[in-house]
Amino acid sequence: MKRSIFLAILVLLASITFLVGKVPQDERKCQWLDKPVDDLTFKTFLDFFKYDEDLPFEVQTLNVKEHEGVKREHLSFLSTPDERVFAHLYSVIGTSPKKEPALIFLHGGVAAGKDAPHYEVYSELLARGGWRVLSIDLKYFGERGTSLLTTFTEDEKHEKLYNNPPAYLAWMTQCVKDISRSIDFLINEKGVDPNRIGLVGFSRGAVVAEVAGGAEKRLCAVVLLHGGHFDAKEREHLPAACPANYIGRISPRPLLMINGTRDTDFFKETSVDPLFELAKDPKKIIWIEAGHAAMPEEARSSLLKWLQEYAK
Amino acid sequence: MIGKTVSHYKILEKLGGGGMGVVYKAEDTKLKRTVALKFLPPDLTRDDESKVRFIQEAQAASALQHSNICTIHEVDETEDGQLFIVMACYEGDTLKKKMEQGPLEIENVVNIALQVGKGLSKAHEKGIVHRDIKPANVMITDGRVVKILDFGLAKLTGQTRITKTATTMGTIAYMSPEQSRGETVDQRTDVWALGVIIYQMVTGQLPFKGEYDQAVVYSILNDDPEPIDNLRTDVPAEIQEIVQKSLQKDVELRYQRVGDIIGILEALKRKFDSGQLVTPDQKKEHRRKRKKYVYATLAVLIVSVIAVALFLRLGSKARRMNALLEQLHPMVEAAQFDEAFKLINDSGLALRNLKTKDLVVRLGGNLSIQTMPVGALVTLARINSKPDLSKGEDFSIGLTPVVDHLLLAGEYLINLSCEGMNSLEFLVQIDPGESLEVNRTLLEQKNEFSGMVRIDEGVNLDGQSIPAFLIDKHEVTNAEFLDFVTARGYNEEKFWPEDMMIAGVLTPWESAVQKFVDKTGISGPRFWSGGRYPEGKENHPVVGISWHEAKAYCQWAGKNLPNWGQWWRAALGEKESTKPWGGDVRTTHLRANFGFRGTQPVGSYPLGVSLFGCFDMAGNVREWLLDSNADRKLRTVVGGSWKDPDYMFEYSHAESFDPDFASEDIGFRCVKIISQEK
Repeated sequence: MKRSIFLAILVLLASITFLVGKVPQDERKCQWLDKPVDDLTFKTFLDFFKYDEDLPFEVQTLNVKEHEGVKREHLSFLSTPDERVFAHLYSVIGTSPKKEPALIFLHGGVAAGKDAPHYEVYSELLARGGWRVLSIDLKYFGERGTSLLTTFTEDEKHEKLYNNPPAYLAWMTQCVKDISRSIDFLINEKGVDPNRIGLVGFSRGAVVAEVAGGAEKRLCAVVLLHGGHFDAKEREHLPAACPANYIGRISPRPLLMINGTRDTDFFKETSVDPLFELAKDPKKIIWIEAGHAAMPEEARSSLLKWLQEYAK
Repeated sequence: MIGKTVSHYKILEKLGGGGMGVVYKAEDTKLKRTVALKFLPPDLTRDDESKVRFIQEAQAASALQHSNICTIHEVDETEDGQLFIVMACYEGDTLKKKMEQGPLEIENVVNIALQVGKGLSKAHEKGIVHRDIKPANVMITDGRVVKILDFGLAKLTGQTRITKTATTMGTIAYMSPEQSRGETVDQRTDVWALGVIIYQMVTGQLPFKGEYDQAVVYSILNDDPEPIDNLRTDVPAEIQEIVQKSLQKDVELRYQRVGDIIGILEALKRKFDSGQLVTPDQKKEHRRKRKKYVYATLAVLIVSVIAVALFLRLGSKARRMNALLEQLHPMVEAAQFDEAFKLINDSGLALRNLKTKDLVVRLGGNLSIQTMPVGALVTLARINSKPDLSKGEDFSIGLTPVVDHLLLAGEYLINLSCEGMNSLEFLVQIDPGESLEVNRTLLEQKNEFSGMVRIDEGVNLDGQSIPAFLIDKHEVTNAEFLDFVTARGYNEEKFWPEDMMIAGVLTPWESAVQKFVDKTGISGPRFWSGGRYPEGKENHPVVGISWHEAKAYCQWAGKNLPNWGQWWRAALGEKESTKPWGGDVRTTHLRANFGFRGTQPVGSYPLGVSLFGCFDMAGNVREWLLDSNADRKLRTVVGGSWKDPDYMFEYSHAESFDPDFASEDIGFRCVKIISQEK
């Protein structure tokens, strides 16, 4: 009797597996979202992100501005031998000389990169909250623009980058290296506390943060603002560039996600919920009744409170 | 050293020496060329760290390829570990040596300063600041080409601050205030030094002097230089202005980029080249010569004067044209249309008069404009992209119809005005070699058309045919919405023809409208108080209104909400534009209100106007549409808002909300269907 029940369960499970395998292609089910790669495979991914730690930064300060009590240094430093990262370093004027906590901020997919007013406001907000904030241009955006992207429309970004698996992996690899070098820069050149460096990403920056958060163990906390697994136009990625293989590996470091219920870029049901499921504790998600980008005051307040607890 | 061979360089002769080391002329025995070797003082590269730093800096500087920057071939090391730089060897003198003979001719000053500026500008583009610009570092070759020496080396020698090395090298007099205070420096330090050099070339003396180093520093930090016109009378005002602004002690008041100085110097150079600029000394000389011939026979004099005048005039025009063409060619190659526009304007010549047809085609395109009714005055203003996005001066090209009017490639703001009709303003892009035809229908000056523009029948981006319609130029403002509230818009059910959905439930109108109240419970938008909009925000778009309220306003105003096809046709037309103003995505922040500055008065971004004359289609507030492209119960908002990054403008980022949802970033504008138009 027991054996027949066992066999029935097996048959049932096999049927479910078969049906799941028959999910139509147009639903764009990512296999890594169902089952992320094992630890042995993941370890090989980390080789992608190795970089020359001894490479001099060759820091160039381009200008320094002050805005209502916040200082913004416009600077650049070498990330890899052929890649110079352009960044803004925000800090509150008169900050104490003792080692401070810091955040690395990653912008969304706009032409202006870190210089878009939207992200300057976020960076200033975080600086006023008590962190030194390094807001960097991701490759192909802002001051790191190339001829790859010119119109920065969603169609162009997806055709040339997000839905071009080899190019996307190369881009993601460079982004993660840039973040690692940003950590080195903050510690070695700016004297911030190496144990209190967090990562905050917005939209496409959040997607990068999902990968970097899993790969770069020196980050003390990771925040994803309006991020998710795939956006509405994304098709597929090579496993080493797929957030599903990294999100679960941010733990035991804390993860915060803030998303809009009406987001038509990263859909709640198909993009955000499944990714959050894969994340491990400590993790938290805050849902706001909004679309993709707008974060009301209470959400910004929740973000600062969470960072106070986990990254300060 | 003379006669010795270092690496594969045979030392020929000593060229000079100073705080930065000794320079020798040498023969590269491998490549059989003459080079200059600069051996740095051993104490600057005494440890491995300093050496590595030196090599990296030299490598960065060697990447600078520009005709006004000394070429660095390589960095090498002698057997006993002494580092040296291998540079191109130029025949000529340093500016320091040239100035030993006294002040320079103004034309010469302009030529030298312009070339130094161009070299610096190139380096600044690459993020490299010289930090030690001084006459000894400026070489003038026998071919009168300026070469800037020692790029990046100042940083290595610690000359970002006052050091023993800087003192011995006589560098202090060229240091900027921030540099002499030991602060972080940027490209504006080079702007300062260039200002000092120009002052010295013109007057033959330094602007900041002292008996000893600290006195020089005190002078740099506290004194104003003696005005140039006290020292020399034939100096054009432009030169005095450059020096005055370059030597501002506050870096923020100084020229922010060397490019700004280059622009002025180029204009001055053109004046010299075209003979427009004559110095007072030259004028004196002319008078003296005239006196000499005053007793010559009258007839011969008249004939001679006429002949000379004709010759000069013709010659001058030909010279101007040739000089113009010579400068235009590289600009065309680099698609620098703004620069070309300025150059042609300054020359006083017209684009159509350029002799080379091929050049005209590569520089300009044709614009044709037809209006209904005809006879509208067409006024244009060029949009300059450099140094910052700005509107140029207005100029008229006559009345419509305008046919094939040749314009230099670029962006233009067009204004159409006609008596009895609403004026219309919109942007166009003229591409080289292309012809653009624009058709616009102007609206009569009547109350019912006030604040609206007409979009003629056409197709939208999806190829869908859209009948003609009128649309508000601006988003509906608080003041306009107050008229609706005052007219008891919330109290009359006839303005609310749609089924009222509250929290997803069909709700009787009387109950539903009770939900639409301000902070004090009075009917009105959620962010109003006491039945009034916030102080000073009368011209801001109304926000905090649900789709139902927007629709009721339209009903009251005899209008409607735009549908998807209408809104996108008004925003982007039928061309594959990226943004309402065209394809320029890098200046979005200057053309649309994105980025957390709160709502702004409607029309605050005139250079973000759409191809049909609508403002704020991108940014400021997202706008309710009549229909929904998603769930039937939800209503669509489009266009992105002040709270969004700019990609939220795109149609793929349209979002849908319940029709009773209200937010601080959602407003609306209205349309009027054409059958209602008289």
